Amino acid sequence: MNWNFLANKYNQLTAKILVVTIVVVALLRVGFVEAAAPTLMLDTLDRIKISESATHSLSMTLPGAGITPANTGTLLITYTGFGSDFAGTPVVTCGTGTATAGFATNVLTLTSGATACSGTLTVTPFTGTNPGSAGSYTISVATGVGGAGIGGQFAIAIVDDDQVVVSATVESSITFNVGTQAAPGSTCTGSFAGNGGSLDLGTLTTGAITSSDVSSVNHICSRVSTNASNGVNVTVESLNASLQSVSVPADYIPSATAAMAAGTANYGLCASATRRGMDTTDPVGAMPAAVSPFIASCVEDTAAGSVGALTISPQIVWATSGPVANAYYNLVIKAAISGTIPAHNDYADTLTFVATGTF
Amino acid sequence: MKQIINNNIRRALFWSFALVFVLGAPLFTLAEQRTSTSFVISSDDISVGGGRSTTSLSASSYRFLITPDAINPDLVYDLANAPSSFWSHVRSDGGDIRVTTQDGVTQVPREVSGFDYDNQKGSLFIGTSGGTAFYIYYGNPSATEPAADSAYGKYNVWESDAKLVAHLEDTNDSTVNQNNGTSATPPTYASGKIADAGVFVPASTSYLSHGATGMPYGGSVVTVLVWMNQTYNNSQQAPVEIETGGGKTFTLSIIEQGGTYYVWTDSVANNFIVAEENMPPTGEWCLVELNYDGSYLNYYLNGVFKAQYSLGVDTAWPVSVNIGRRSYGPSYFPGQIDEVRILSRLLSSDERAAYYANQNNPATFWTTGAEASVSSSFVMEDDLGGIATGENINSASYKACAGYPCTLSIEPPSITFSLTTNQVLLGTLSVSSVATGDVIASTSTNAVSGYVTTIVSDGNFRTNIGDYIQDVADGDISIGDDEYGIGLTGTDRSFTDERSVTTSPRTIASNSVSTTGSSVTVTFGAAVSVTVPAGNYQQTATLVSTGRF
Repeated sequence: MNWNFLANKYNQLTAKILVVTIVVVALLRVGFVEAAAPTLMLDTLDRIKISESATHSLSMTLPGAGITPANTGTLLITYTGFGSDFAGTPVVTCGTGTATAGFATNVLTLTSGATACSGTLTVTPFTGTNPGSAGSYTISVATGVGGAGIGGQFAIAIVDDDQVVVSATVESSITFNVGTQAAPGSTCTGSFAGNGGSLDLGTLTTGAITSSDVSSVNHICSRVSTNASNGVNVTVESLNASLQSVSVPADYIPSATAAMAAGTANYGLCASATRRGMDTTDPVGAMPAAVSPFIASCVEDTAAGSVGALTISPQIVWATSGPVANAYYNLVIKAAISGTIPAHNDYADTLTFVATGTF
Repeated sequence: MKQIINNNIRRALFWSFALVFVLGAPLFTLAEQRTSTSFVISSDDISVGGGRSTTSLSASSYRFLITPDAINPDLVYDLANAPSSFWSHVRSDGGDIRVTTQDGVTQVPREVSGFDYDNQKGSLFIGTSGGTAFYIYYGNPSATEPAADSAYGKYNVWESDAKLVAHLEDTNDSTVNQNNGTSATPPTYASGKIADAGVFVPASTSYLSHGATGMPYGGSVVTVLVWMNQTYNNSQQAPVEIETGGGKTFTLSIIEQGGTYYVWTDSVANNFIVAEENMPPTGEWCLVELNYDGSYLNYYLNGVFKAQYSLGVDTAWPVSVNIGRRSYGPSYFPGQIDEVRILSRLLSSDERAAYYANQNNPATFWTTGAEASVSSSFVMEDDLGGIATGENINSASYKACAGYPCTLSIEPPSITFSLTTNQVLLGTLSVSSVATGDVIASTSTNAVSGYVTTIVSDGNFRTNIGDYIQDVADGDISIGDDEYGIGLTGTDRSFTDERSVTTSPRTIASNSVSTTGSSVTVTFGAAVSVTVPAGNYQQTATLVSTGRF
């Protein structure tokens, strides 16, 4: 028997077994490789409602050398459970280097540029449809092409509804006061709360104009508060369109838009340009403004000035363009006669004022 | 034969090692670089070590989180309320204490006052700029007290309008003005309102005379704040006096004389008389504030306005500040005085309320978290049984997962978010009230760096024709004003006043660590004036919660 031959064969077999064993054990002791995880991973969506299209803004801090090697290394961000319509041309920024973004279904692929992308990575904006059911969705981050070995996960919360509808009502409101005030003792202001009354012009003569706020003749004060978004109109409607004798209706003092003159018969109304105002509010209210033909100069407190003609149909005396608190206007009545006006002690008219808000 | 055996074995060994190095080289390399997103801790004590810097925040070993009820430029934390283990880990002189905002990174100035290691008490004053909550770091035996004028030293705790800050633990002024006190007969010190306080005894003529650097001149806006516990009320006492020269003074006086009660006098002809029931009581601590707004003296007791006095201008410059003595006489204060402030500005009502609440009861003003181990390079140096509830035991490089489930699997990332309602009905708005409605937003996440919740609107609170209610701009939705916005309640809330909901996302809640069921209540509010247009108003707000993993 060739013992040397047998020994050699035996030893060769033993050696092979020994080689394999040593190699296997060594590799097992080395263990398996784990990927390095990015940190501060977050994706901010503008909407997290189910099935909603959302705009994403992704950021993370890449570990180690980042997405390597340059030009070919890729990082895959997989939005499992999301729609397959991820798209966009986001701006990609890296702490160092560059990268470009591409989309396929619900996977964002970042490809390193000529200098590998490392450090803080941001990708924004891009869009995609949210999952169809609420819950916490895990987004995986993993190396596509490359040997750097990046791996990690983060999560996005999806909800049935991410919105709150807040509602409230501001009810319409308008308050109005109009009435006579004794002059000169009373002043028309935003606090006026009177209603109605009478305005006695006294004895009319050809030698002078009779006017409110002169020789104790009353004036009319009007006040409005409203939150009508398009403001308010204050209108006047005359019963007779003149000062008409009650006993002899054929006798009357006419009403015309004109400058008053002693000895010339006329009767009318004007809105005092200087005696108007409103409360100071936030938001600022709309200042009341007189409307033609009543905008002519009253020349307040004098037996002079111009008036607008009164008619049997409503006419706007003054108005605001928006909400206002305690807007007020001092209204003046003036009258004069000529020598041909018949003598009566019962010339009269009834004025009806209405405030109308436009909401 | 023996030689053949030896040769073969040697040859086998050679090739086996060669193969291992050829095949295993890259694996060896990667194994050395191996990091892990999570791992199981299976032993009780895991001690890691490393060199410690004498100044680096990252060298601190421990921290705990404190959250105030409100933010104020003048905040104090009573270290007696710190976790019990704090006193086992902090330096005996408190010099290693450092403070950051809630991000755990941004340091803020701090002042440690009245630190008594043996009796486990002391006060921590915090420069609060940019913080809504604060981490207290400590446990670095090599770290020493920062220089007073350093970035995080005590001078920088105090705003520029603070001209004197006297804690009455000693004779010092904590501000950069260094208006320190001197006296031939200084007070003694004993337990007071905030740590120790000065004890003033008339029979000993005890007082302090402080410098007047930077003090506002007579006629300027000035605020004097003082905690006092008077033993009795004599006829001439004054806890704080600002001498302005020429024999005149600005004297916070607490005087009863012949049935008349005074809180201020200028020792010439002006006396601020108040009703008896508004005088500071005897035998108990109270906070007295006296300010001058340029036209009036205003007197507050325990944060509540009590009386006002019209005062003309006195343009004299201050020459000194006396604590415990009124120079007229002179006469001396009987009792204890603590935490004196002289400011060259007025407090807002919110600041006043926060100042009083904080100093009157620091234990309830602050929420104190548990102690946790910290390290920039290592996970922990602690017993597992001692891991604080709710604390983040992860580091920048490692994460930990503890407990039975972790032996079975690695916890996946998770975040859930919910709203209690999707509709807030404010009803009919009125000029005589503020209408409100709530929605509660709740977040749970295991994100290592916590979460942030934002709100964004689709436009103004408006009608379909474009009329709108204005966004609140002054921090407070007031009755009768044209204002709309939100207020927040909850530990994680991002602000304490009322703010607008705009078309740009606004953070309403956040936390820097993982959390379960953190909720913030969002209160929508609206007020109208008489000129707010009538109509149906609506706004849609979108809330999003994002985890930071």
